[in-house]
Amino acid sequence: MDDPRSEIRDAFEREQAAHPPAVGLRPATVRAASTRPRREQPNLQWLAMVATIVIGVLVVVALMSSRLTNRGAISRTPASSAATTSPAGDYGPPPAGVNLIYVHDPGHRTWLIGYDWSGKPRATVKLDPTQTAVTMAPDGQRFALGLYAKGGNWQFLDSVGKPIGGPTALPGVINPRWADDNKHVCGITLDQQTFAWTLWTQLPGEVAKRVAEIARDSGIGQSFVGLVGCSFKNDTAVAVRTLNVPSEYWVIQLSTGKLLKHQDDLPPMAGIVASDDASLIAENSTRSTGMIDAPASSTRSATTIRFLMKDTVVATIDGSMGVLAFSGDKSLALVTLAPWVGGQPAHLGVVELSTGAVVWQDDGTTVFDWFVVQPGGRSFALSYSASGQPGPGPATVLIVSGDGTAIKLGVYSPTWW
Amino acid sequence: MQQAAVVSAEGDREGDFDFLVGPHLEAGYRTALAILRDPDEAHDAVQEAAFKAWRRIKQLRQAGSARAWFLAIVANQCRSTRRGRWWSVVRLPRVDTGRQEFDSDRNDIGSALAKLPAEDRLALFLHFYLDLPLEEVGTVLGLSAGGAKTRVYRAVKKLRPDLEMS
Repeated sequence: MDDPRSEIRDAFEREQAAHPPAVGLRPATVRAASTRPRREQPNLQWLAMVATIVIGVLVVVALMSSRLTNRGAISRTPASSAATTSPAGDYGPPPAGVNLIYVHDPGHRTWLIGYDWSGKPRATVKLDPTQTAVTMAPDGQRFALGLYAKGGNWQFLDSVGKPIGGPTALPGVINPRWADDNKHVCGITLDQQTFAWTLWTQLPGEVAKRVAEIARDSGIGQSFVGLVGCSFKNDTAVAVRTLNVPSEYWVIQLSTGKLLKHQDDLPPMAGIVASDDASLIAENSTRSTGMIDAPASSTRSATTIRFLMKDTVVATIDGSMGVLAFSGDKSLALVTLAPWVGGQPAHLGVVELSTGAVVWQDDGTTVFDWFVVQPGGRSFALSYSASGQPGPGPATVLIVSGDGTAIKLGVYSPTWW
Repeated sequence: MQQAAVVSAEGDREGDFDFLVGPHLEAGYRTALAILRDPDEAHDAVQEAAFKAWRRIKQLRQAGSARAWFLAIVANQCRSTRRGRWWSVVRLPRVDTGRQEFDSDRNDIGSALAKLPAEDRLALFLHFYLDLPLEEVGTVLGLSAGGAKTRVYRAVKKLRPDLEMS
């Protein structure tokens, strides 16, 4: 009698060998399961049919409604046709609860156009003539006027551009950034007397809150401590000390100032990038940038993505790629596909972390400015300098989605500088 | 029971989950691949199964084997995926992919395995490839150990009528 065990096992073995599990299956799956919101996904055929009918009816109603209320005002194609002329429309006040991307209306210097993440213009915010240097919160529901100006005096504006409280006073703040709750701004100051680096948070209309002293230098110009993540959802901030390359980082609890983690003696890397909720970090290989002159023997061969607190590796990607940002749902990374020097054309791509697949890439010929991440979603808004010079100014603005599609909104000055 | 003790510690739910289910995720993927024969769908199925396991982790207090418990969830998810194919294919036609050809299909036993009903393939996979004892095969299939043995035996007979199981 033949025992079929070995024959059957060999057949399955050949089948399985051709399709091994994805690298990082375990950490990625555990993370996805633990962070996914509770939501039933019934796979019912009748439900699909009913949903199709309902959606069809809603689309018809929505189209009829938009024709009645915004006749002649809204272009239904937000793609490249919008690039050459201003929409010159007044789309009204921002709809409640909709995340928007704001750009300056080229036809009205103090107007902002708010696009939703499908690329449709949904709002016009009319600022005071003096309010031009605004930076949007990630959800587009607030703005900060003069956030990056020297002095630490910025003014919070609400969703329609009205001031909230008075100007802030956080002298010497360096690279302030919006927190993931879209309400706070976080920043680090360097005391010119004690050379202490201190973490602060600021709410509109309130006095800035001192969270903790992070580190202290022995003199001026010894190092730079920057903030790479500030999450009120996870009650966590991440600060990195840089001495040409990152040398150490701290994880601090925002509510208490408690030091949750301190990692020093880092291997050589080009930079550290955190997800919006500060739960993931990417350690970018020194090979991902053309700016660092590191000996080949000391370069980190791969760019590594890991859970911040557990150090568990989620994914590794080729060291020639550097992570610029994670998508809001942390399933994707916006990366430079080839070593990049700021101010030079960048070859950008979007990588699916669970598979390593590049779901979108540009042609690598345009000077990349910056980006904004869709809160909780799978899209990025990117701006490419229209003048070829990096920095604030007209830029070609794209929305890139996780399904690999890109929508060109046009040439605008974005509000994420 | 070890699992109950670990799950009852409320401090680190993600750590508990990783401890209990993490070691079986690869087996889950391999099981899904054996049923669905599509690596993308298999990855999706194991992700979905992991989420369901996360929500039901406390059920492990009554379960003797985290492996069989999780593989049963994977198998159910794969059945749902197979049932859902008719409309997903209509919605998202994949012109260039279709079912992927497996090397194992090119030989006799592989070809015969490919033609077996999914439940029979699953029984053989669990018992002969993952080396699950019949009690655990039964748990995954929703059968008693005796029922699992019968299922495996009949699947082998379909595969090779001339073969006998030892």
